[in-house]
Amino acid sequence: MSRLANPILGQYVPGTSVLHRLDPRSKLVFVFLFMMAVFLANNVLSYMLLVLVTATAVFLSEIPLPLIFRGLKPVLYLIGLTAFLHLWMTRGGDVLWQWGPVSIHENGIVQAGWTSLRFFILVLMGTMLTLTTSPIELTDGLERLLSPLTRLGVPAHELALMMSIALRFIPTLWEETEKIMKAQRARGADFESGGLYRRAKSYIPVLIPLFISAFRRAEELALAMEARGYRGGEGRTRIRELRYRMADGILLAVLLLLVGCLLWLRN
Amino acid sequence: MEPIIQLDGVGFRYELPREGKSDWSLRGIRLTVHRGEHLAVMGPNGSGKSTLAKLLNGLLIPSEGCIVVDGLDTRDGKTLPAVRRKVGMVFQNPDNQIVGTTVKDDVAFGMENAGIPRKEMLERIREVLDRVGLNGLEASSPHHLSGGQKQRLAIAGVLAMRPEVVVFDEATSMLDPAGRKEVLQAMEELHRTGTTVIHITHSVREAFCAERVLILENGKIQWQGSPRELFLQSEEVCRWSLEVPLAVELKNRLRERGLPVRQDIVGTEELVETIWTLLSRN
Ligand SMILES: Nc1ncnc2c1ncn2[C@@H]1O[C@H](COP(=O)(O)OP(=O)(O)OP(=O)(O)O)[C@@H](O)[C@H]1O
Ligand SMILES: [Mg+2]
Repeated sequence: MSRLANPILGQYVPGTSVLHRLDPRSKLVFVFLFMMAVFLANNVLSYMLLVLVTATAVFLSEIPLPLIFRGLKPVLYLIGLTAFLHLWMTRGGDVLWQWGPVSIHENGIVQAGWTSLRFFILVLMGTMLTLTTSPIELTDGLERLLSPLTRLGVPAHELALMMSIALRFIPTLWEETEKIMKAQRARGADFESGGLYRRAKSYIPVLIPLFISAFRRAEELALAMEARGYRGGEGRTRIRELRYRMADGILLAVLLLLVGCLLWLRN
Repeated sequence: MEPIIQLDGVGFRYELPREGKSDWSLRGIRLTVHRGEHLAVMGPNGSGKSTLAKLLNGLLIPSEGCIVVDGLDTRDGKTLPAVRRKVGMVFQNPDNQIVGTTVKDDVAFGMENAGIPRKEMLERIREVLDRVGLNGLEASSPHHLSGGQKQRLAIAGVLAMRPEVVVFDEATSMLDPAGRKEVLQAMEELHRTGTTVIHITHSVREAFCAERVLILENGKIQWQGSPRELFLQSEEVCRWSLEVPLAVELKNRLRERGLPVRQDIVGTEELVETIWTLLSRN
């Protein structure tokens, strides 16, 4: 329940919706190109089209709206702040309000509106990707998408392995952090009181043992991997299978259509 | 008996020896491990047990002498992957040998490295999870498993490679009694089905399940023989700082008091019987 009350931005929500079942590769490509396409929009109609596509994605994800928006809260503040800055900084058009040296211009309002909307669309689409794709699927997708670049020196397999090992060890290290904190509390450590500086300093006796143990773990894990015949990405087969389906084709068609429309609507 | 691993005049020293140690971690090791054998390796801390284990599957290459695993010399880089498939390792810390984010992924890791086709991987995964009793947990994340389950997962990952030999390097030492029992049972099952088991342990009780016990001290093989023979010489056992089982300790004390207790008693039941006989005689 605590996750529902306080979801982290973009944290994966397990599910079986159409979006969940799409191939991670096509989702990655779609979101990446969609984010670029957003910058093609420069009038009301094209923005409406983008809003429509984003809303459809939210609808298809079958994730409850409150859950999505609670996760987005910190970003909403950021959007509010940028809008506020645009409002005061942008000059041009009629002066709507003036008080000494500070003034609000007509263009300021227009700019603040459009940038907030664009920013919002970008973030929402980005979170739709991570909300409907588990981190390990994302890793898999990234690895396969990047693998043609291996010849150019992009270490696709190594990056993916690093990410999946990180995912594997996050809960373990988290548990360990809690254990160390308890142990230090029992020795009289105090993590709550004092100013920011004192509180940050009180974490040193937690971080140092944590780092030492993480290094030991890394060493042992490397040995275990070697013992299990790990020799890099070459000649490896995969247990995880990715397969393009009908829905992935539809997604691609939607993307092409969208870019076409945006180019056509552009003035 | 057919040999599976042969060590001939093996010595090993680390490039950067730790302070205050003689530079040879192992010296003059001559040893033959037989196919299907259950061998226990004991010895005080720093005696070279883990070094020996790592030599057996080519994680370390001997500084002198040679090791032949099922006909393959571990110094030959080309056959090293085959050696690693033949000799599987289960390490001490259950957490630090699991690579996959789910049980299924982790069992597959070794097979992925060996380039085994996906279809066969799926079959083998089903088979080995059945064998270690983890079926139904395919999609679980490793940190939700108990210590004993994690070690059984590690065993499953090793078994999927169809190894000839499995080396357990203190694989039970970080587990609670229940987990320890699970792993020992898995070990027993391996031995029964013909896999060679090498078990490095500090626990005399665990070494007792083996057919042969090897004692290392200061990088040398000090003693080898059956577990029974070992406890006939409890003074030696004390010298190697192994803990003696309660029954053996009690027997020695009774003998010191001059009671007619046989020297070759090692098990609790035998001792209980002897004590009953003594009591009823009085
Ligand atoms: N990576 C290393 N670098 C240098 N010296 C090492 C290294 N690992 C082990 N040694 C040394 O080699 C010797 C044998 O160590 P090893 O780990 O094989 O002992 P062990 O019998 O497994 O001990 P334990 O019961 O503590 O596990 C010790 O003297 C140790 O200090
Ligand atoms: Mg050791």
